[in-house]
Amino acid sequence: MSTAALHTDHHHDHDHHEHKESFISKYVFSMDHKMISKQFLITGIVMGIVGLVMSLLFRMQLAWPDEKFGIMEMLLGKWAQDGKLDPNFYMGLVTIHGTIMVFYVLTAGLSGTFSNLLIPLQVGARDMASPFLNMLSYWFFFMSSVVLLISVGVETGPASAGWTVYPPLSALEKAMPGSGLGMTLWLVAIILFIVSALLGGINYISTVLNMRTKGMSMNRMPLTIWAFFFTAVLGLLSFPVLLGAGLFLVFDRSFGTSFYLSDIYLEGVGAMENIGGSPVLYQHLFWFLGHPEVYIILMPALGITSEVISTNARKPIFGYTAMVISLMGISFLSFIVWGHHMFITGMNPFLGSVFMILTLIIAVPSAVKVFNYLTTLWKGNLRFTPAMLFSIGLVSFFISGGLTGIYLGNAALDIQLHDSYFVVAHFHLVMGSSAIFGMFAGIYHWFPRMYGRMLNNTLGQFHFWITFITAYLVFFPMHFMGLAGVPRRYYMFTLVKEFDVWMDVNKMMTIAAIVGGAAQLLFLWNFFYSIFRGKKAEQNPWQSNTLEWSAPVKHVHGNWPGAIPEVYRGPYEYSRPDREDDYFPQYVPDESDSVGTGGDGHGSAPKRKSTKKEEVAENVMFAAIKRVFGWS
Amino acid sequence: MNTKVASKRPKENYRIEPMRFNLVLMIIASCMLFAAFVSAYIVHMPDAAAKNTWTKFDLPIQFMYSAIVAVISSITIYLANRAAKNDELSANKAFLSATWILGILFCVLQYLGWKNMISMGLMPVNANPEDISASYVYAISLVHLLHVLGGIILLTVTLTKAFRFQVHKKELTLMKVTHTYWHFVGLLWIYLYLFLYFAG
Amino acid sequence: MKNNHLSGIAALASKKMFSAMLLLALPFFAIAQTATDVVQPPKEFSLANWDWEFISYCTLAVLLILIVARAFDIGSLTEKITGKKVVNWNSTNRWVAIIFLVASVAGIWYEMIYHGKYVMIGDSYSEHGETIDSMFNWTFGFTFVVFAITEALLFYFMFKYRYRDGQKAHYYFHNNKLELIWTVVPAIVLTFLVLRGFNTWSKITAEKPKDAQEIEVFAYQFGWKARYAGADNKFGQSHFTFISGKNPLGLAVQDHVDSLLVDLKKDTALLNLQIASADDSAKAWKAAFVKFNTGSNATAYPAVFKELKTKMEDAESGAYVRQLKKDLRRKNTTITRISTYRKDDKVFNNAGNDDKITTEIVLVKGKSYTFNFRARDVIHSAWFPDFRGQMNVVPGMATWFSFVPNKTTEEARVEKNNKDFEFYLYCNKICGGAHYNMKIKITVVGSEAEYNTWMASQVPFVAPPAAPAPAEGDSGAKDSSAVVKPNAVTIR
Repeated sequence: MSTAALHTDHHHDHDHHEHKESFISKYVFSMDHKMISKQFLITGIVMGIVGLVMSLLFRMQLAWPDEKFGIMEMLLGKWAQDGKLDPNFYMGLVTIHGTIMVFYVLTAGLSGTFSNLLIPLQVGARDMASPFLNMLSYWFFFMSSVVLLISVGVETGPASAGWTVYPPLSALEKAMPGSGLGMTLWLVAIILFIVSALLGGINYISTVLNMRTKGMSMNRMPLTIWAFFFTAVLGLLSFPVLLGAGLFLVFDRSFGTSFYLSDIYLEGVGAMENIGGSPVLYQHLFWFLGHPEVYIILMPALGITSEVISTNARKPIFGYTAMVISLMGISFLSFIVWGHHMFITGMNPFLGSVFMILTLIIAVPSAVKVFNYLTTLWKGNLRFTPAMLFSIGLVSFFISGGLTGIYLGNAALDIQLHDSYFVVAHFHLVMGSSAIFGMFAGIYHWFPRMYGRMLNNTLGQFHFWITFITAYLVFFPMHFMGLAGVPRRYYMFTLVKEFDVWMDVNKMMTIAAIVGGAAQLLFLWNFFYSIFRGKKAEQNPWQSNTLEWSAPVKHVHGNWPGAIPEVYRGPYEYSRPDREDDYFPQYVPDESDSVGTGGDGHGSAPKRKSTKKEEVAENVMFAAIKRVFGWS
Repeated sequence: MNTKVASKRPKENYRIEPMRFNLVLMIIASCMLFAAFVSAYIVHMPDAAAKNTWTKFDLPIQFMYSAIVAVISSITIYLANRAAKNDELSANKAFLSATWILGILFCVLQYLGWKNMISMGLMPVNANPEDISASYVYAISLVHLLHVLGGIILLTVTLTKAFRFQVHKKELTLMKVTHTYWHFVGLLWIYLYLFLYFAG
Repeated sequence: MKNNHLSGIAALASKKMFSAMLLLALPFFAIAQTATDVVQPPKEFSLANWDWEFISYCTLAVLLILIVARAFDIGSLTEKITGKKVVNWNSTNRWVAIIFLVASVAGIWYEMIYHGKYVMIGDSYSEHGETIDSMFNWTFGFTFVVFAITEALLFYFMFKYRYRDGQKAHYYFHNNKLELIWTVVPAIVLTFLVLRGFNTWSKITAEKPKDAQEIEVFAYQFGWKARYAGADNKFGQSHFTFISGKNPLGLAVQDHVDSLLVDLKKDTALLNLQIASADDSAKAWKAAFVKFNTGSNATAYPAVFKELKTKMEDAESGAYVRQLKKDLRRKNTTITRISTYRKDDKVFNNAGNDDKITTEIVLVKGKSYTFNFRARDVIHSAWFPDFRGQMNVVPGMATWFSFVPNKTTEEARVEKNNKDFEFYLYCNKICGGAHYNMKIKITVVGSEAEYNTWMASQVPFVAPPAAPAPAEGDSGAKDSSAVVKPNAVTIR
C-alpha cells in the first residue's frame, strides 16, 4: 500500500511529540478524540456489565420467586435478606438497569465511542472542532456514571420509579423508599449526562459540517457519519427539553413548587398542599426527549451496520441516497410522535389519532432501510467476520422488533398492549438488542483501528451465535406473554393464578439470559486480552474503502502525519467491474482519471455535477449563518 | 503538550471557526430549553386557570428595567466589538467594561425583581400551590440568569485578555464569541419578558 | 523493541489510567459515605453464604464455552502449520444460519402448540374488544408475512452468497423502481392499518356512552376500590382533602369530615406545642445522646445510636423545626380547604351517604359501563386485559373508560376450561413496591337479579338511621337498571 508506506516516514517525528505529553494529559484528561473514544467505550462496557448483572438478578427473581439465592445477599446485602430480593429494590434494579442501558451504554457508550472515533477519521479532520469540549463531555459522562453508581448504594435505595421516573411517584419522597436520596442522585446524574451529551453533540455536528477534507462532499460521506450527524442533531434538540423536565422535577422535589403535583393524599403524611400541577406535563416533556432518544440509540447502530455490511458483502450499499433520506425522515418524524407513549394517559382522543398516523409513517423509512440491507446482501460475497454477523443480527432484530412497533403505534391496539410484556419484547428487540449488536459490530470492526490489534475471530464467532440465540430466547417469548395479558414491572407473578402457565417460560428465559450473560465473558476476555496480546493489525484489515484505514495503525496526534488525504469518490466502491481489486478506497487517486461506471458509487447523479450543486447549497447555508450572526 | 503538537500541525482552513460554530449550536440547544419552558407554560396555563390555581400578577417593574439594561448592554458590546475590529483598543476596553458593569447591574435587577415578587407574597420556595404562574416566572428567570452568569464569565475572560492587549484586529475569535453570546442572552430576556408580560 | 512499544505503553497506561480513575472516583465515594449510609455489607463474609451450586454451574458453562472455542482455535493453529483450512468460518456460518432458521421456526411452532390459545390475542370478553382483536389479526396478517419473508431471505442470503475466493459481488447499488415499490407498498398497507386503527380508536374513546352505568374506580397504594352510586343513583361528591382512615375515598359526608377536622385541629395544636418547645427538645436529645454515647454503646446498639444522633443533628441544624412548620402549614391549608367546602351545601348534599364502596366489581353481561377513575397518591393504570380496556389513573385528573362485557365469568370459565378463572383489573403503571399485587376482582353475572343480590349484600357508606332499610326487591332492581346520570364529580 502506497499510503501505508507514506506514513511510516513520519512515525519517528510524531513518536517524539507523544513522549513529551505527560501521563495525565495523554491518558486521563486527553483531548485526543481517539483516546476519548476509548474512554467512552471502556466506561460504557463497565456500565454495561453493571446493567447486565442487574438484569440477571431480576430475571432470577422472576423465574424462581420462592427460591433463595445466596448470591443475591452477597451482592445486595440488606436488600436481599436471606437471599430474597426486596420488592422495592426490584423496582430499583429495573429502573437503574433501564437508565444504564438507555443512557450510559447505548447513548454514551455507543454513539460517544464511535462518533468520537469515526467522525474525524472518516471525514478527514485532525480532531474534533473543540477538543476541550470533547474532553469535558467525557468527564461529565464519567462523573454522571459515578453518581449513578453511588445512588445504587444509598440507604434508601436507588431511584425506583422506572427509567421514565414519572411524578408524582418520583416527586414525593414518602411515596416509595427509592424516591428519596436515590432519586435526587438520579436527577443529578441525568443532568450531568445531558450536559455531556450536549457538549458531545455540538462537537459532532460542527466537525461534520465544517471540517471535512478536500473532496469529502456531503454525498461522499460514509453512512456512519450521516447517522452520527443526525443522532447529534436529535440529541441537541431533544436533550435540553429533558433538562427542562428534570429541572421542574427538582423544583417540585426540593423547593415545594407544584409543576407536576396535584390533589395528592399520601398514606402516613395526609393531604398534600399541591393543587393545579399536571403530571401529564412531565410525560409530554419527557417523551419529547424519550422518543428521539430511541433513535439516538438506534441510528448510530444502523450507520455502523451499513458500513460493516457493505464492506463485508464486498458490495456497494444499495440505495445510498434512500438510506440518507430515510435517516433524515426518521429524525424529523421522531420529534412529532412522542404522544404514542401516552395514548392511554387520558389525552384528547383526537390528538391520539394524530400521533398514531405520524407514528405509523415512521415505519416506511424503517422498511426502506431493511429492504436496502437485504438487497445489499443479495448477490454479495459475504465474509462472515464477527462484525458482519453482528450486523446481520441487528437487521434480524430490527425486523422482528420493528414490526411489533406497528402494533404498538396503533392507538387501538395500544389500549391492550400498553405496558404489557409485549412492549418489553418490542423495545428490547428493536432498540436494546439491535443497538447493542450494532455496538458489538462496531467494536469488532474498528478494534484494529482503536488498539492496533485484532480481536480473536473464533471467540467472536462463538460470542455472536450464543448472544444471538439467547437474546431471541429471552425476548421473543415475551411477545406471547404480553398478548396473554402479563403486565410489565411485576415483582413476581405467583400471586395471580392466570400467570402460572408462564412460569416455565420465565425459567427458560432466565436460563437463556444467564447463558447469554456468560457469553459476554467471552467478549470481555477477548477484548481485554487482545488490547495487549492480540494479533498485530494490518493497515486495512477488512479491505475497506473509507478514510480511517489510511491513517497509520499507531495513533498519532492529528491523525495523519502528513497532509490529510484527499477524497476522490464515494465510500462504497466495492467490486467495481472495471477494477481488479474488489475495493477502491476513497483516498486512492483514480489513475485512469475517468469517472468510472458508478459515479459516486451510490447511484447519485454524475459526479461533478452533483458535487457542484451540493457545494452551492452548502455555501448558501453558510452564507446564511454568517449573515444571521453578522459575521464577515 | 497538546498545544505544542497542535501548533506543529498544518493549519486547516475552515469556513467558520469551529468555536463560533459550536456557539451557534449551543445557542440552539439553549433555545430548545426555553422553548420547553415556554410551551409548558402555554399548555399549563389554561389547565391551571380552570382549576383556579393560576394567580395573575404584574411582573415586577425591575424585570422591565433589566430588559432595558439588556438593550443598552447589547449596544455597548456591539461598540466594543466594532472597536476591536478597528483596533481601537482603549475604546474596546471601555465598552467591554461598560458591558461588564451592565451585566452585573442586570443580575442585581433580577435579584431585586425576585425580592419584589416575594414582597407580593409569591414565594420561590414552598410557594402557595395556587401560584404556579409565579413558579414559572422564578424558574424561567433563574435559568436565564444562569445563562447571563455564563456570559459574565465569558466577558471577564475577554476583558482580562483585552487588558493584556490580546484582543485586537487579528485576535477576534473570543471577542466575536462573547459578542454573539451576549446578544443572545439579551434578546432572550427581552423575548421572555415580553412573553411573560403578554401571556401571564 | 519497536514492535512491543505500543503494547508496553498501553499496558502501563491502562494500569495507570485505571488507578487514576479510581483516585478520581474516591472523592465521590467519600462524599457519598459522609452524606449517606452506604448499604451494609452482608452479615458476615463467609464462603458458606455463597451459592456454590449456582456458581459451579456458571463456571461449568463458561469453561465449556471456552473449551469449545479453544478447540476451534487449535483448528486454526493447525491451519497455519499445515496450510490447509480446518475451519472455514464462511461455510460454517452458512450452515449455522440455515439451522438457526429452521430451529426458530420449529421453536415458534412448538410454543404455539404448547401454550395453545394464550400465545395469540383473540379471546376478548367485551364488545369493543372484538374490534380490537380483529384489528390485531389484520396487523398480525400483514406483519407476519413481512416478518417471514424478510427473515427467511436474510438467512437464505447468508447461506447462498457466502464468500468464495475469486468470486466478485454483483456491482449493484441503485434501482429507482425497486426503491419506489418498497416505499409505496408499505405506505399503502400502513394507510389501510391507520384508517382501521383510527376508526376503532375513535369509536372506543371518543365520548362516554350516554346510557352507561357509571362506576367510580379508586386507586391507591396498593389496591383498588369501586364505588357504586347506591339506591339514589347519585354519586356523592368527593375531594382528596376529605380522605381519612374512616373515609378512604374522601366522600363529602358530614360526620366523617367533621371528625377529620377535629383531628386535624388537634394535630395542629400539638405541632404548635412542639414548635414552641423545640429548644427544650433539642437540649433533651443532646443530653440523651451524650449520655448514651459512652463506652461501646455506639457499636453495640448501632440502630439506637443512629436514631439518637439523627434526632440530635436534626434539632441542632433546625431541620426538625422546619419539618414541623412545614407539616403545620400543610395541615392548616387542609383545614382551610375543608372548612370552605364544608359550608357549601352543594358539596355536602348527602348524596354520598348511600354510595356503596366495594372491594370487587360486579357487572351485568350486555350492559354498558363507564368507569370513572380517581387516584389517591400516584399514577396508576387500570388494565382490564380480558376486556381490552386500559386507562391511566392520574391524581388531579379525571379519566374514564367504557365497555360492554359480553360474556359472564361462568361462560369464560367454560370457554377456558378452567374452573377457577376470574377476571381481574390490574395496575399497569409502576406505582411502588407492591405494584405487583395491586388488583381487584371483576365478576360478570348473567342477570340483573344476580347483580341485585350482590348489591344488596353491600353496605352503604353511611348506615341509614334507625328506619329499616327499604326492601331490596323488584323496586330496587328497577332503580339500579334505570339510567344513571353521570355525576361522579370530584370537586375542583
